[in-house]
Amino acid sequence: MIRHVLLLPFAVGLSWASGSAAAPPSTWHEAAGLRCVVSDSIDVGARIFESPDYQQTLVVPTGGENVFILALRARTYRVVPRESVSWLEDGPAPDLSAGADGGGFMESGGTMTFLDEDHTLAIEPEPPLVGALDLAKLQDSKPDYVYAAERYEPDAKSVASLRAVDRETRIEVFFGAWCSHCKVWVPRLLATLDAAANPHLTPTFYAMDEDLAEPAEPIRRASISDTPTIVVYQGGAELGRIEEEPVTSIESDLAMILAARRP
Amino acid sequence: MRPFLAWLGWAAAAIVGVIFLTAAFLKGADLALFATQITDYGLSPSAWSAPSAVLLVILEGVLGVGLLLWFAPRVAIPATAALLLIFIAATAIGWARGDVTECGCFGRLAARGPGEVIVEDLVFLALLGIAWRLGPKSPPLPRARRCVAVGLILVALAWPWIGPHAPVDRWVTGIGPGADLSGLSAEDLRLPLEQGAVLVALVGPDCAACDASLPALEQIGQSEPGLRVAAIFAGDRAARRAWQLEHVPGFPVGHASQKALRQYYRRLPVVFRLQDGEVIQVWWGRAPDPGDPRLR
Repeated sequence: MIRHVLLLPFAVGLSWASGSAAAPPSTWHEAAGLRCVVSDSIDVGARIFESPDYQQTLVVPTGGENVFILALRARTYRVVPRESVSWLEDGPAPDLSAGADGGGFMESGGTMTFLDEDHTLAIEPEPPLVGALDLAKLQDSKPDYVYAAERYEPDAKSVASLRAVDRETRIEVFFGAWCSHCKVWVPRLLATLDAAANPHLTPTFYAMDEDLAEPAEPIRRASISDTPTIVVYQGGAELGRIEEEPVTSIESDLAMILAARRP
Repeated sequence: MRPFLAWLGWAAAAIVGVIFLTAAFLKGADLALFATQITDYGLSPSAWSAPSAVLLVILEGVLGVGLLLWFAPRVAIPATAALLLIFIAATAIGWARGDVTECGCFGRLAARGPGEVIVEDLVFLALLGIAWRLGPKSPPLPRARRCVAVGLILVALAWPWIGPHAPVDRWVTGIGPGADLSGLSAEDLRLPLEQGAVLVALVGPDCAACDASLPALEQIGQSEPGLRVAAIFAGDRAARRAWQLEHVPGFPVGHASQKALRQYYRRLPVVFRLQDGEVIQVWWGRAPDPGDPRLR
């Protein structure tokens, strides 16, 4: 606690020195769309954070004794002992006075590259959001969907109907990260599935490119021509689908598709 | 009865004339977008798209004036009919090839599918048929109407060069105070645009005006309590990240494809002041000045 109080004026001074006279920073937040590559291998467990004033990047690799703080304007980085980072409930609080200057980092095409002893670390943009995703990856890539889902309350009767489904049901969701319709309807689907909490309902998400050409095989197989399209399968057979927007609501349309299947 | 039928003929021509003038206005106001839509039809080399866009805007404007004011109808009506037949053929071919899912007939304001376009064009052809058959038998135009027609034709000829710079963004994009922008979607932006007061700037690559807006946006973010600032970059993630590292703005930046964002602007930057996803104020082509009372 005392360390955090002492840290505060230093953080203010640092943000002033970076040219941004912001209010005292709160916490660092996890960056979206970036990954850490260590000596040409993707470090899937690495975490990358942005400072509250977006002037610094904190890189926490999976292994090693150090973490790294990159000053984006100065194009320099600091090597900081891992234990100098306190982990608060809403994010890390690195001790910016700890560690030592690491030198300058290289930047090319949005990728920052620097050295740690005999390793090369690169912080690079993740590839475009196209292809199959699980729910966790979708939530990580589309925080706006998570936000909207948290604020949607699906109809209780439809949710109860979905909760009662006892056959293995595959729900394929074809959407585009660029698609404004999807931003409305996919979060409502997420909220519905979360409320139903039925392990028999298994969603798979396919993020498509704008030409609806990739990922090619799932799109061709399901004959997708609109976004979003939600296709419901049981036993390998399609029960029904929702294309572009539901007739009533996402949860109601889903419930009706599945109810029609029940004997 | 004869005067009524003549009036009916003129009215039929006038309807098509107004539609053509509206189309010419909207397309000419965003010629770059119209040229892109022509390219998407895939019926001509992409190098022809820009001059084709200019030619079509002029044709639609001039013919629209002729039909509306019954100026040289014996030329305007068949020429318009010929143009409609070309539109129908182009739409049908593009539709059959899957190259066209939306027409660019009215810029971005009225997105319609190719089937709808063909049906509408056939209706316009029918109206032209009524105009040809029933319209007044071309008496000499009153001098005043002749002058108005000539003046409007001159505007139509100049519109491809005037239009892109005319302050008509609100009419061309359909976005102004009260518009719902909750559908504005960006990747990697951990700032909900639908909640509270947000100032969101659309920026892009090779946009000097966008880069010049950054200091003002940063200052606004620091000086306006309760107003969160964000930017959406028109491009992919790698390009957005490169831009972010070049400029290091003091606010979050997401990205969306140029194709997805194009409906919101004619030229970048555009800055929206949103309240719970609703547009409160728009600044076209620049950032607001810090201290602008419309920020509150």
